[in-house]
Amino acid sequence: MEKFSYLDNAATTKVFDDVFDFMKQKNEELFFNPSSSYMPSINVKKQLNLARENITQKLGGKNGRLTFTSSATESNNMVFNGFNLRPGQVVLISKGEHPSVFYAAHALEQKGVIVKEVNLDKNGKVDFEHFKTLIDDNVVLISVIHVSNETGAINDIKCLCEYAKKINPNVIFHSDGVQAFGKIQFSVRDLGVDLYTISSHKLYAPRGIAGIWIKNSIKIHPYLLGGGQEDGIRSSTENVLGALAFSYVLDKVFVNINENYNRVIDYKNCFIKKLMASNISQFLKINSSEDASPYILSLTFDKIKGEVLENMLDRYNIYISTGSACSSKKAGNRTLEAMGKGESDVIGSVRVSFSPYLDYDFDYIVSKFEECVLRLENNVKR
Amino acid sequence: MEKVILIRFGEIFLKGKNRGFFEKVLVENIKEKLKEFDAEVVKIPGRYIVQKYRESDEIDILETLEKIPGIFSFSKSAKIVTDLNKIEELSVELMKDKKGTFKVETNRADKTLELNSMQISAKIGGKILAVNKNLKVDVKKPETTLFIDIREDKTTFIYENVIFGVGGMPVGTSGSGLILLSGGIDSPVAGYMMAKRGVKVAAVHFHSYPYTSNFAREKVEELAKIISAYTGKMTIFMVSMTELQEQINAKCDSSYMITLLRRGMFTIAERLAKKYKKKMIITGESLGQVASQTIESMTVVSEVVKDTPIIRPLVAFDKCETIDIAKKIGTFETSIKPFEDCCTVFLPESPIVRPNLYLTKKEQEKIDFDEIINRAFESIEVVEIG
Repeated sequence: MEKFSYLDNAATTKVFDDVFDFMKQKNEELFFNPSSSYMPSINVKKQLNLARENITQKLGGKNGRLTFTSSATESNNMVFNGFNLRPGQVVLISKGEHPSVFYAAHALEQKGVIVKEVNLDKNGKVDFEHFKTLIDDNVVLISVIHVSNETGAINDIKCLCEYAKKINPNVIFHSDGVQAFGKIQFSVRDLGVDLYTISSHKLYAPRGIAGIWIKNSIKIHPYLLGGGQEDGIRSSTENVLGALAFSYVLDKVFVNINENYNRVIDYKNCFIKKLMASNISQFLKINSSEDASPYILSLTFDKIKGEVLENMLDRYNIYISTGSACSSKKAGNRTLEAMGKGESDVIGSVRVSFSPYLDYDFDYIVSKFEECVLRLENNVKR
Repeated sequence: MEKVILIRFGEIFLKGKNRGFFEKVLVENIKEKLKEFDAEVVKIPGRYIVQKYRESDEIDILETLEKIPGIFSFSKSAKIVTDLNKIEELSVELMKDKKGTFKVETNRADKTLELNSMQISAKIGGKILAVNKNLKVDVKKPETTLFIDIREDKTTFIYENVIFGVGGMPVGTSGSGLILLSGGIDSPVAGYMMAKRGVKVAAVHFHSYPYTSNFAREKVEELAKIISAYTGKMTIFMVSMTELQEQINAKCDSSYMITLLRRGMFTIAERLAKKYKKKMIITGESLGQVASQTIESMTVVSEVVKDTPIIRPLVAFDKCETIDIAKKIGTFETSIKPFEDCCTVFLPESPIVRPNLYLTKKEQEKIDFDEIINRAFESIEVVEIG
């Protein structure tokens, strides 16, 4: 049993222990700059490309190429800055996007690009009927998150993409798959997307390495200029050890992807069941829908502040989040608001996110939730 | 020629027989602040000089000096052995690329020289004019003033610009005080102002964790770090008011929340002041700014403080005047970060604006005030900043 209950795996995960040994060993033979022309460098480049192919294969994206980046935020920014969009052109995003999509898209408004936001339904998924009304020939770029970082809601990217391309065959479709890749099964080819963002540190591999998968037919303009690495799409000396570690960890994760999924479903069900049986069940509202990814669970406890609950549980070494770590410093929660949740439900919301590689003592966790929520209900409510 | 920084002190001169003490404290403060640089601080009659530093550190050293209370002004300066020919040569060199109007101003502490200060200025000014045809003399409003400071000990300093410091008195010459540091705009300014008057400041921060977040605490540490550039190293006592707030919330008239909470804070502040030998409690209160800062609130709250003076340097300040100082000392941007301090949690809908002591004490009796304060006092955390 861990000395703490880490329930914030959607923020980041603990890197597998053996990754550091793996990297240390690779560093001996592969520290060279892959852009140099001497033999060891050629080998480094080969290894880097093997990692690229391995990850691409796991994405089911043989019809495209993975470009390594430093973070999913960078990948998402590349998308919005990669197509020289002109005034009057329309970019469509959902109301449930991660801040790195939301702000990168809205920054284009300064250039006269029109940014439209598609509504979410009460389950946190893109409202397909509304989506249909927004698709026309002026839309050049669409970005819809695959699995919501706030609620775990899984968008039917295949359906959205198919519809959009039927109406406007030239539209470019991007999906941020940070919370989907390695957790739920899909292939980017089947989804039909043109661009897909992934990240390493949400999958037990180090930070500082991520990727953007780009379909072969898509020509993206580089965001970082320089030495022309990554086929000129993303200049920067390559993070070879990071890329290798990402690939190495994915091998382990993908072997167990179904087992992991089932384990996390058990975690989620057990946690909810125990909460329902506790003395705080009457305050509990579950914001995530039943068909959401089990890795992420959004809850609200009536009339209390999620942030205060987070602080209280911190004392018992139980770590949860009030929404995505990247947006929790700001008041409000765009995703929950878009789902039609009222202000107090948003303020009272917390996000719990599981890892199949950690053990949880849900009796202990729920007992502490109970203790803290009861204390808050008694104190704050007047 | 050697490049040095010449430091002048201000009010210390007024302190008569204490002058030695003030000067000693100031030089120690300067040395402490410049510790991170490889520089030498030496005392010469009436001045300090910083010398033997790396040129690449110069800007950082100047910025550091700007924040040390007790320094009136300072100048980047050339230091040479007193020799009129050499002074002349260097002055001409320093002025050779200048344009417009100028004057030379000489201060001659070395009375062994034949020429007086006026004569030296005239002689050197003439030489400069002879070499640089782009310059004209204007003794009233010159664009450039070349200062020649001839000291008693056969050294001369030649410099152009005078940079003003914060002035005031060296930290540590006016005793020590305890500031109630909230995380808002006012209290860091109050702390800075008292440091400027020579007070060695420690801080007490009251929080309501878990109702307030760890970010609020980080923010206070960040503010303390910023003002420690003026105050020197600072201790923060972190005190939890959670139990007091919960008890008031549960048992007392909610409009007394802030009044009772502040009575708790001041009780703890005085206890801390006594324990750590601080001679005053300092607050950022400004008369009438909020409900807790009316004269009635101040009276009822200060009643718990028995024999420690409460200093409120901002009492007559308008908010915009305080904000101007906060911007100048660099605390404003941090202060406006939106993390709740403990006063906004459990905020009553209508706090009492003019509390009276009798009713306040009645409300206070509804809870076990002394015991709660004892427990809060026992669980104080100490954080060292700077």
